[in-house]
Amino acid sequence: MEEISNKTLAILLIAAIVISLGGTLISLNRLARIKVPIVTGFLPGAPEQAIVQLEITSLVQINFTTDTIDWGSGTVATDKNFCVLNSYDAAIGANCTSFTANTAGLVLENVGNRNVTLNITMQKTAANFITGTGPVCKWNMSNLESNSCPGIALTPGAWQTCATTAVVVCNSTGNGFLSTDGNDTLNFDVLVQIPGDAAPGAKSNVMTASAALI
Amino acid sequence: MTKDIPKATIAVLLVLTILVSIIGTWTVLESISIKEATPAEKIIGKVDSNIKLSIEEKLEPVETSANIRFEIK
Repeated sequence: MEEISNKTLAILLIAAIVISLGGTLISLNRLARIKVPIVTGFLPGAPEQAIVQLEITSLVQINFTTDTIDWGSGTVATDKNFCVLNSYDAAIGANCTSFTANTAGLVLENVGNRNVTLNITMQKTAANFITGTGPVCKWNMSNLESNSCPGIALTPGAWQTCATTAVVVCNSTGNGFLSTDGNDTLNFDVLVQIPGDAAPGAKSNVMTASAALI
Repeated sequence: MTKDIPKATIAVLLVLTILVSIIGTWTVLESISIKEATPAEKIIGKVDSNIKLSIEEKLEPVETSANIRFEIK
């Protein structure tokens, strides 16, 4: 039998080397793409704990979105005993001079997400607010958005005397003053009667609305 | 003088070397393919998850104010 030449042996050896190196390189390349558990920190079969935290805020909050009634400055007409200003007429009272008419009352909205009871307190009585003989300060409440106060404690539109003690407007019966959008806004109109002998000067009063969770 | 190993024997050994190399490489690649196909089961393992619900309440009574004013000249 004729023996294989040295040249053939050399070719076979080179082929063996190339194949071996190629296989090694391919193996290393594939291994590099595999994540080893020790490197990632995850141990096979070890329990892992994940916490998903969800925070829901429950809020009691009300806000006067219209918070000022300002009739400007003026006088009671000469030879008249008093003049009347209100927050819903386009014209000032017949006996009033130079004041600015107001056509919108105070607007109170429940901007929280809970139904509340609602009380109204005035900073001053009519005597302290306006002075003079027989001054009048009154306010009333109505639903600016329908059914905003199903727990109504007053007759809508009925005048209430300005008092420094709290007047309950919406009580817990019927869920009080609602927080539901579209049913969460009240209107407060104010009326003042200024006597002709009221002391001149700036007059101010503050209406405070207090809300408490039902 | 010792008789030298025939070249034919060397050639057979070389062919065997090549075959072993090919088969070895192929076996490693097959093993890697199996690992890549099922990484989640091999690596992640069992996971326990907790959902924590925290409800914060700001329920104290609140107040808001409005102003009513005019001036008598």
